[in-house]
Amino acid sequence: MNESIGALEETILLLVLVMQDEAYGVSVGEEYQKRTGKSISIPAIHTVLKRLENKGFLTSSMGGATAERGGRKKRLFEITKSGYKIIAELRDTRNDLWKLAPQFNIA
Amino acid sequence: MKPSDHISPPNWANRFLEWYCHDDLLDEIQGDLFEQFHKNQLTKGKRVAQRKFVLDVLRFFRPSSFKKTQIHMNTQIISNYLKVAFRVFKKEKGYTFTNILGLALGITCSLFIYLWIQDELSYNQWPDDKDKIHNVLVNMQESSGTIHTWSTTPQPLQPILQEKYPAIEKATMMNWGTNFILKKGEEFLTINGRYATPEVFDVFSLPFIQGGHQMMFETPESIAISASAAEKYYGPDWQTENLTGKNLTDKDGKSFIIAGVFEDIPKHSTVRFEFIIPFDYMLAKQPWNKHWGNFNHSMYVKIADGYTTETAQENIQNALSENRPDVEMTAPLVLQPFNELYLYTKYENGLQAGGRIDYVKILGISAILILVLASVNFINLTTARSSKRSKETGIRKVLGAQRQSLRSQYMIEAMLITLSAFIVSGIAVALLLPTFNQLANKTIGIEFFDLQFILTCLLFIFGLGVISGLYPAFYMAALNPIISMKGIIKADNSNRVFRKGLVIFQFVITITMIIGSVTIYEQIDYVLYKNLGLDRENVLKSSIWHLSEAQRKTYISRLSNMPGIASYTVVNQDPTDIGNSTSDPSWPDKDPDMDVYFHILGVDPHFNQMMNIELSSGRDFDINLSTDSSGYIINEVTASLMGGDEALGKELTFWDNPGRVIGIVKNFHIASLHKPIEPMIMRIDPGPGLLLVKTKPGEAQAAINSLEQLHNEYSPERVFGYSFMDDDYQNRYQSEMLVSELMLYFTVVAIIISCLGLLSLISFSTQLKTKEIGIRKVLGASITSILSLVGKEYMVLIILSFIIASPIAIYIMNDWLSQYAYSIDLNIWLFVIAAGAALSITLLTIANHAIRSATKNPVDSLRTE
Repeated sequence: MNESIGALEETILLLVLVMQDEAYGVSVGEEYQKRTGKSISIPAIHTVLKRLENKGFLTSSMGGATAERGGRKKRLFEITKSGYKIIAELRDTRNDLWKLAPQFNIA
Repeated sequence: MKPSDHISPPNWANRFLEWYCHDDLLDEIQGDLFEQFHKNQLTKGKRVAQRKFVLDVLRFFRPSSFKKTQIHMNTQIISNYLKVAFRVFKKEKGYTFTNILGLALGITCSLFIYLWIQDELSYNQWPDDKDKIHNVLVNMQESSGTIHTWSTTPQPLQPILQEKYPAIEKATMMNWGTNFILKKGEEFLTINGRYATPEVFDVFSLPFIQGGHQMMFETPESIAISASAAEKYYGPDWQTENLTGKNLTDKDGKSFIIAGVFEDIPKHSTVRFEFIIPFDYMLAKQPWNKHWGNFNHSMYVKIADGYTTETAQENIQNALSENRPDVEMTAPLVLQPFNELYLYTKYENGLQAGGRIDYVKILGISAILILVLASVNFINLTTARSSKRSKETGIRKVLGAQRQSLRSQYMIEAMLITLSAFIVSGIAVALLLPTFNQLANKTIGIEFFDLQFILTCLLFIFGLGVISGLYPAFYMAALNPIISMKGIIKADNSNRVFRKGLVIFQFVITITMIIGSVTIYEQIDYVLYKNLGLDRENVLKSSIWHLSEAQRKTYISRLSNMPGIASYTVVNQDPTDIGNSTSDPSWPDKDPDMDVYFHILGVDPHFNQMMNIELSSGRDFDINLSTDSSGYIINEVTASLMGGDEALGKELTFWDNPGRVIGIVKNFHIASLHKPIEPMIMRIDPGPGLLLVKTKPGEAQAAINSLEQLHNEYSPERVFGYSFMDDDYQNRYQSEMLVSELMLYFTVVAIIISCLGLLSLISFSTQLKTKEIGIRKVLGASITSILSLVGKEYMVLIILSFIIASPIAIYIMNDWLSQYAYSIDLNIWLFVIAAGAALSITLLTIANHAIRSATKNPVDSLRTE
């Protein structure tokens, strides 16, 4: 699989990885807001999750319903091997580059 | 599914979501949205949560979340629809041809009308502040109560309006047009323009390319010229030098300083000029124009910010009564918006009463009616043919096609036909446009690749396709598959009633149009060839106003010996189009309250004789009686105001000239036939300048040559101009003639469309009756009885439509005729002609088909299966 991913996709993929079993639309959205401070709409998250699933980086299964959801089931997402591989690769590339970066004194 | 009790997102949004969302996705999407809603409600309040919910539902409204069943239009199915459609078109060439031809005819007509109307509406739209520019009109009331709306105002009003009334930002007064003859080397160059106060450039926001209009306020002998006039005189490179300050010299050696060069005024404008010379220059030469009582020139104003037409009019309406010092007069001013000046020209009793806009409306309605006719044709044909397609429809249904998809199939076919019709008419319009321009006296061009035009056309195609395809689509899709597979829907009664209704509807429109266009044609014919009470044939008009009085005398005296000229007279204006009027005339026993306007015609003693105007009593002017310079000849309308026959010999005074009535002439038309004949007085004019020449029969050209020869002797710097009185008269009815002609064409198109529809319906119904006809023939029926079997049904429909159409036509046409003071009567013959035409056209349409099926060998027809 030779798919590339964008920054938002990468973040969401990481979030799914971190959240393990509880990754579905609303929870990913909340986590995203908590971690990045930016808000995102449910339809936008659904789009990204679905795109990642189509690219083979995520798999999904239908999970438990709660009262808050009016009895509707959740679609729970899990990261796949290729998903894990692509963010790991991205991280490594970045780390390599960071090692080469000169010290930058902000002050 | 309803959300549980403690969650209450907007119900409609939730239902909408459930309606469009794919079932597989509904749980996760709805669940997430509910959960989010719940959380938002707790943290941000109910209203924010609800708004977000609705927003999210709308955001999810995208193809990826749609129900699969809603996407019937996948490419495979569409390609199948297209394939079947083309097969049907190919198989039923006649049907397809009639359909496309009918629609194309209708669309072509409406496209032309659309172009024409657009052109008409584009008049006077050019100034930047077009909503602020207004023409000042005056409502003059006669003692009889009649109100005349004049478009002329007295000169002193202009500075007063501008200074005293806050609603008026700028006002300009201009004359009606004048020529300026320039000498360019050995040649003469004529440009047309106006005397106007320099504010004209402020009122119309006309930009200057060079210079400006400041100088014109101080120097009366200055001139501003348009870019095209500058190009005419200085050549295409005029912009390379600064023309401001140069002198322009006219043919008499009078020179004017150029104040500036302004941009050309677009062609579609009621006010156009190539130059402006300050009004003051004209006032210095014609000081009488400064008088309050002389309503001679037109005034345009720009209203100030914050005023509308109504509030500005309120502000200035009493300007005449408040400011006129010499006499008391109550003549309210009226403001007419500049952009209405072209289309709304008629005022009746002081109120706006249409004008050219009437014709725009008449033609617009005809265009819509013709389109309706064409799409009715389509509906009719398609439903009539439905039995042919019923097997296909049945099979599709049995194989699981839904109604929705069948509908879209038929809609696609309708769209295809409309599209082809549109392409055909696009080509037709492109080819016929020059002819149309000639007919309508326009220079319309089409930008076929203009985005707006393409969008309008696409919208149009879509709209027309939907209108024509909707009923057939629903009708076909609703057929019961079992019955339709047996192909026995001809027994369907409601469908037949519907089709008959449509035929009646079509013919009501067509017959109304036939009656209408014949009436219009007859009325115009009546107007154009009516005996006006004077003989206007073979009369040449040529102006000699530019000559001095002494020159005119010698000029005229030389006419009698010239070839081609039978007789001549000199007048001060065209006697069939008298413009001026005055309330001045008085006589000893005149009712002091009588306030009537009299038209004054200045003539020479030859006038009545040459124009063949009949005297009803008294005598004509006598060239040998010098006292006749104070003799007046009046028409019968004036006579009746002055006491009938007693008027003869009465004293009559106007414009400080006491005189006596020496004769009464029979009424002749002194203005358009829209107006009744008004009071008129003829007097011997001291120096008239409009030459009327009666040519010898068949020697018009010789007469023209004689006039031209004389003209070139006296004033070679001017272009020789002449016209025939009859042509001028007819030209005054040009817009009526145009509408009459266009209506005639439309009626022909309407007839063709309706007949096409009828033809195919009849061919279809004879096809259905093939066996019946065969059996009847075997049993010994004659051809005539078979013909009546087929034709009877339709003849009844035509007669019924005629009965419905007549009162509609009578109503509309009486309304139209009422705008003429002299008009034809709607007589029974008109209707007989219309009915006869409709019936015979129908008969012709039917006959061909019916005879063919009636004369067919019954053996063949009985073997059809």
